Amino acid sequence: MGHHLDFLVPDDCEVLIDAKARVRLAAAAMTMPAIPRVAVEIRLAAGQSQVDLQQCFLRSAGDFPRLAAYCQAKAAERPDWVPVAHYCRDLADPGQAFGESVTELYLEHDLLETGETPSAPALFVDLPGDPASARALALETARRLQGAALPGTGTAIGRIFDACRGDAFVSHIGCMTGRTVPGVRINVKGIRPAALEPFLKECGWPGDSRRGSALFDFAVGGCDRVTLAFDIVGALLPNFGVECFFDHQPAEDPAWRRMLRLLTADGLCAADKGDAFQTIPATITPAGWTGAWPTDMAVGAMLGSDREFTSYARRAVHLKIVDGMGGSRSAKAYYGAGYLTIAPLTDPEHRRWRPTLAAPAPRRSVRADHVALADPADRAIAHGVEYLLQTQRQSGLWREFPVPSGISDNWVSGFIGTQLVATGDPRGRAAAEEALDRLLTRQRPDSGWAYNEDHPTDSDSTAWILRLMRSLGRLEEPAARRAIAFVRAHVQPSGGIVSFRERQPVADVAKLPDESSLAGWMAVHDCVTAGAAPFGGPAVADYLLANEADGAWRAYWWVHDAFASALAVEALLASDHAAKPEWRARVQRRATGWIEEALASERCEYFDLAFAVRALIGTDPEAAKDALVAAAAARMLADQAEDGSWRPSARMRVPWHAAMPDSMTVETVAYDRQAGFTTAAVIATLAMLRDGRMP
Amino acid sequence: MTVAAALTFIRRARADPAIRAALECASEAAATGAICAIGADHGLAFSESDFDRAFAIEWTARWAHFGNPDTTIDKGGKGK
Repeated sequence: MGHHLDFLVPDDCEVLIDAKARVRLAAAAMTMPAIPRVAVEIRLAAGQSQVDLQQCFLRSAGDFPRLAAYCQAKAAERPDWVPVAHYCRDLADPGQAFGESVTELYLEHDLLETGETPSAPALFVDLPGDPASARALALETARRLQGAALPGTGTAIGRIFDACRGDAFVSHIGCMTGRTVPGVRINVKGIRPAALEPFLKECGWPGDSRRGSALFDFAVGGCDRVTLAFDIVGALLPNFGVECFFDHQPAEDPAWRRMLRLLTADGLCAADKGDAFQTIPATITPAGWTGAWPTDMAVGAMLGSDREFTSYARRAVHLKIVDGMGGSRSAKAYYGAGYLTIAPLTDPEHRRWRPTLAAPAPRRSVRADHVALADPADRAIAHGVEYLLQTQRQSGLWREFPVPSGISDNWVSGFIGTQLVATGDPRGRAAAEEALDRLLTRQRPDSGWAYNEDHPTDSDSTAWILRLMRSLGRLEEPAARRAIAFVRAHVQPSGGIVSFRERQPVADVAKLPDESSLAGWMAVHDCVTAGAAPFGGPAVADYLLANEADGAWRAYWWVHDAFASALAVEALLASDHAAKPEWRARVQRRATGWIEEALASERCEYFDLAFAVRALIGTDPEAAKDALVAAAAARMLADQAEDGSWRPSARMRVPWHAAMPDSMTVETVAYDRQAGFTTAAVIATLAMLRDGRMP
Repeated sequence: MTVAAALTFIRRARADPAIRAALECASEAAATGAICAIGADHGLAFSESDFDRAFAIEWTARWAHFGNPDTTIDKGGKGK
């Protein structure tokens, strides 16, 4: 592994890995087998320079026999390696049933600052999905690696398994065999914030559960997934670790920066270390590398396809915060590194292997109820609901639309939650309630909500959370009343609604200089006006009636006008203008055209089709019986993916900040990459057609 | 001893069974010198630095031909 060090450790990261730590890494890497799947563990506090090294072995890659041979050779020189060597030997032995469900194994080498020879590594393995098999393997792993010296360990492990309910499950077990006090670590994934305190109580965790809950809540609110790490040394210890995973790399998701800055504010992370960690991810290719390319990689590339490209990738993996004994708290950051074969023609999305340690796991509480439903629409709606439940984060929120200033969770969750309630599925309603619980903790002092926690409040995000509250019958709550006043304050004399009232917070988040014009973003937008219309007062409908153009309303933040137009129709139907035939006739014509266009297209944009159908039926309820609408519904039903989603097709656009609505220059178009917006829109529309009502 | 010979070797390695067999036998810990030796056995003389240069050129040329223009390759350092 030694020749990989130049790739593994960037040239300019002395603040994270100083010269001495680099020497220790090099020494450790030289003794490790040449399996290029490694991770580096960095302590984030100022003055802490210990850097540890981990290596991942995969059964599917044929690594286990090499692992066994490596550990046997170590054990011949070092008695403390013997338990690890025996464990790996049995794991690699095809004649033994032991551990056959283990797919990945990690050796974690603690490289002490003193420079002394590292003790035997900690060993981690993944556990099977079946809880009974997982428990048996966990207990057997602890017995083999810890021996019978700590009889309470088995009891503590069993209590954690017993306490796992709903979505929570034990995913990995680790044994720190080489430490002065050998312990066991149990990783629990999937637990929801509301379930944490009962879980801690049931498994007999002896720590401060309020403090633990607060840390967990902070973690789930700031990233995509959180794994809990518990330590056992004869009994469950009051230590409490939260591992925070993100679906995107730091360059794409400012949530990394946000969490690191919060850790810095708490004194857990040196600011320069936090900044440097975000620069670690990179893809290194021979084209930009002036040194020799490793021989094994060069040989592999020459033997491979000429359509595949050898490279070496470093990726940020997770942040970990540990509540230690005595109230101490610390933070670490992890990045992984290894070979990456880029195949742009066969794998244009650049999908990569991700260890189960970091990958999303299915929610265990979500059952496939749809399979028992006979009606195709019922089945498709239920399947779509299940997809959205699977993608709902532990925070209760969904995250979509990565744009340079961040990924949305608040606004997106207001929209998806509203559509879920409209399906009438009680599971969708419960998920929407969970989202709202989180959103209510995020209402800002000015009574509004924002695109995400880094953005300033805006009327559109606030309106969608109000729509969610309305759909759940909670519009009378004080939070809603305050938010309605917030929206009202964005209504202009024309009746149109602006997204933002104050320029500077918008300029700050967009990183624009003081002299930049924000005239476009600060203007009245028809899509925002239509979305916020239910809370904007009577003048808004007048504005919408006056700004209809040939049956459509111009969307500023969307590529297609169908979404804005369907919302405008909804607003006008609730106004004194509902019965006026002229605008209704024009919308019918326009929406019919959109539907025909979508059905004729090989690449149907389902999000736009769903809202075109809503616009048409809103203005002409009889159209629900027409062949055209039946064809639209059939197309949506036919094109549902196996996982219950529809291909992402909600195309949000970010115009140039000075571009006015009548002369737009598009800067960025972002899709709902996880298909949340599209799937929610389609299932709510299918439910509307099924039930004969508007969502 | 030329970069051109190394480039020829890399291209032939994708199709020539004899070169491929020799490369497959090369141990993963082998130095670039082992590749140079295989090249010499097949009448293509190049040094280790020739090979390193040719490898980067060949990668870049293939990327220009087969690479996805939408795929962004971020920078990761300059090497040693």
